[in-house]
Amino acid sequence: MFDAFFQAVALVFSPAVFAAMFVGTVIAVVVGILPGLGGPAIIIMALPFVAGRDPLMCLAFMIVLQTANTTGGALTSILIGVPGESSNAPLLLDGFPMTRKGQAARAIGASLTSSVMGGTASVLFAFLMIPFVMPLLMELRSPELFAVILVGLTFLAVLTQGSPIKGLISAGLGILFSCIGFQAKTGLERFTFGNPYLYDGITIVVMLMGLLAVPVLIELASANKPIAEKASPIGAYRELLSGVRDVFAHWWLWLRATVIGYLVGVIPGIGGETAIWAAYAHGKQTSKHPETFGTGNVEGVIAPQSAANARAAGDLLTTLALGIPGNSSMVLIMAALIMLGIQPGPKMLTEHTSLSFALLLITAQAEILGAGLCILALPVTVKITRVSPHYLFCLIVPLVCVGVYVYNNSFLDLVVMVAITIVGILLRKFKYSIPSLILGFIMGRLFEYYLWQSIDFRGPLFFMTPISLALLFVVFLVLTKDVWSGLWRRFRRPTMQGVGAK
Amino acid sequence: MKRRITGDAYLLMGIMLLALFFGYYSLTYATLKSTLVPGVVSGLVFVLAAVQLAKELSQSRKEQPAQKQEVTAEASSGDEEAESPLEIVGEWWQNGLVFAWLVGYVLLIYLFGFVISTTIFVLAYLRLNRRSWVVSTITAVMAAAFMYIVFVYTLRSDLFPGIIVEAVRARFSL
Repeated sequence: MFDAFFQAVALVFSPAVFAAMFVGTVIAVVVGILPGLGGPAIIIMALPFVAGRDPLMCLAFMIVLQTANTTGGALTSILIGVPGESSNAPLLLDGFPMTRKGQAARAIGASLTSSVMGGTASVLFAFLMIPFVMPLLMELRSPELFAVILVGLTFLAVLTQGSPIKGLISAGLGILFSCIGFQAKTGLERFTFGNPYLYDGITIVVMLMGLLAVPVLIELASANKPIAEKASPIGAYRELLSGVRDVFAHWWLWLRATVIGYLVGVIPGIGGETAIWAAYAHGKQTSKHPETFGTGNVEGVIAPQSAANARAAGDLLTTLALGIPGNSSMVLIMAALIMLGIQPGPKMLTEHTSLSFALLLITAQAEILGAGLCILALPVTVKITRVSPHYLFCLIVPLVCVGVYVYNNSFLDLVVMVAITIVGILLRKFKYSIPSLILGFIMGRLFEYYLWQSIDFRGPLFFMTPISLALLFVVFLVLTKDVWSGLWRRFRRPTMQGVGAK
Repeated sequence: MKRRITGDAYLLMGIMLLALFFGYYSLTYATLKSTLVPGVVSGLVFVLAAVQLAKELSQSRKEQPAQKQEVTAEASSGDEEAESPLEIVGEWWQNGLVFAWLVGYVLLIYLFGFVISTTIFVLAYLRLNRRSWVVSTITAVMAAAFMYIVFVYTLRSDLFPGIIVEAVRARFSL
């Protein structure tokens, strides 16, 4: 195993592979900044160039495209409130408010450090946990996956933002919106009213831009103030260093978020979004100042970004070792592996050990390269926050619109985005949890799929397995947390009074 | 006394109607597999929205008598509560005006396609927000050129051409 590891190190640092990674990083960071063009889109464009070339070089290029793209998208989430892709959306909740306070470089520093450390640590976890995690993953069936989704949704709805009832309403609306279109299990079309546009449902890019990006741009333009009303007094790089220090000061949160990102990211079929939102909810739940989440708390940047990049290694490991891709980017990387004559699956780790290790090392290296590139561009990018909101509005709205259009080449996507923008403005105005709605929308189809899969195979009492029951108990505790905390306060009060009397 | 209905209450009523709509339509599907999840979820959303609406209405009724006192107290103590940076929600009409620009841009795209509409939109928006002709024109042309170079030339995307441009192309066989 150690021989294979050192072989992998030699492979990764070969000039050709390194050059491919560098080019891939530049492309990924630049494309990550463009709204709507996520990792899958650029991997699809790269796929035809893969066939017939050096396998490791091509795979390095594609993995870098996927990994560094998240880093590029983080910049736009923090600086202008427009998420590059869905995994960057949670970063917007506290990263953008920090920018408005004039702490953009600090937020970027915290985000990049969390990314690099989360990404590299998860590769280390991946190496160490292979013997333990893989057998456990084989035990996860539909009931457990259904329960994991339910835990993620409940955590986010109840624990993150404002009123728990409003959080649950948002999550429910997200699930209802996800029901529009063909149902995977039955092939029946629902809520389409015979309109072919709705057969595939509403796309995630339309939802993200309509709920998160455009309302922020409209509010900025109507307030007519730059994003950051004051420039940082200590300069971009010193501010960046304070963000780096923040991560070390909150190392315990970073570690927990990384573990959540890795463990949930490694579960096949759930996708990384649950991990990122769950890490954000966990960050808020355990913070000493939960009330400041959503208003520019650096912990709200560290938690989701550590999880976002920690899931990358987990995703890749599941794809390589089980042959089950965790998300659409991994489907494409698996397709590239098959095109190159390498079959992912249980034999991958034994037959192509050094290649598997090399791919995991490339994931970590991509994080470092992406972060390095972002740091180099920092003095320029931070200046965006002082630009007049009129310029931002009229230059970013066309980019958002073209990003939404090219996703499906459908003009109707733009019309739906405008309609969803109205919903987004209303929900923001009345403090509904937009993250819960987005997670409900992303997970809605999987939620229904795993529910019916579980009922089909195990009957109505499908949840009577130890892991499912434990997870459902967690859901119950979260939903009734007000009751428990009320009882706890009532129990504590007489005790405290007793102590006071003594 | 006349009860004041807040904007949030109207939104909750809208959510209840939406939940009823989803619930009603989910009952029209033939199989339980298609009905169960949207039916149950819409029912839950309806109940939760009703509970929240009841809370909202009772809260607004309690707040009304105390409101006058609060206004005078706030005036004397100053604005102590820091506004959340994400809550930079301007006046409704200002939001509506900027939203109208978005709608106008999408309409322009429908008529003229992306590249021409972007030029018109950026130029018009900047001019109406008191930028000089030179700055507005240069910014508009650069924005359209960037869009063309990145999406059409480099990424080979087929951008929406617009119905008028399409009709002109068809008429003159361009």
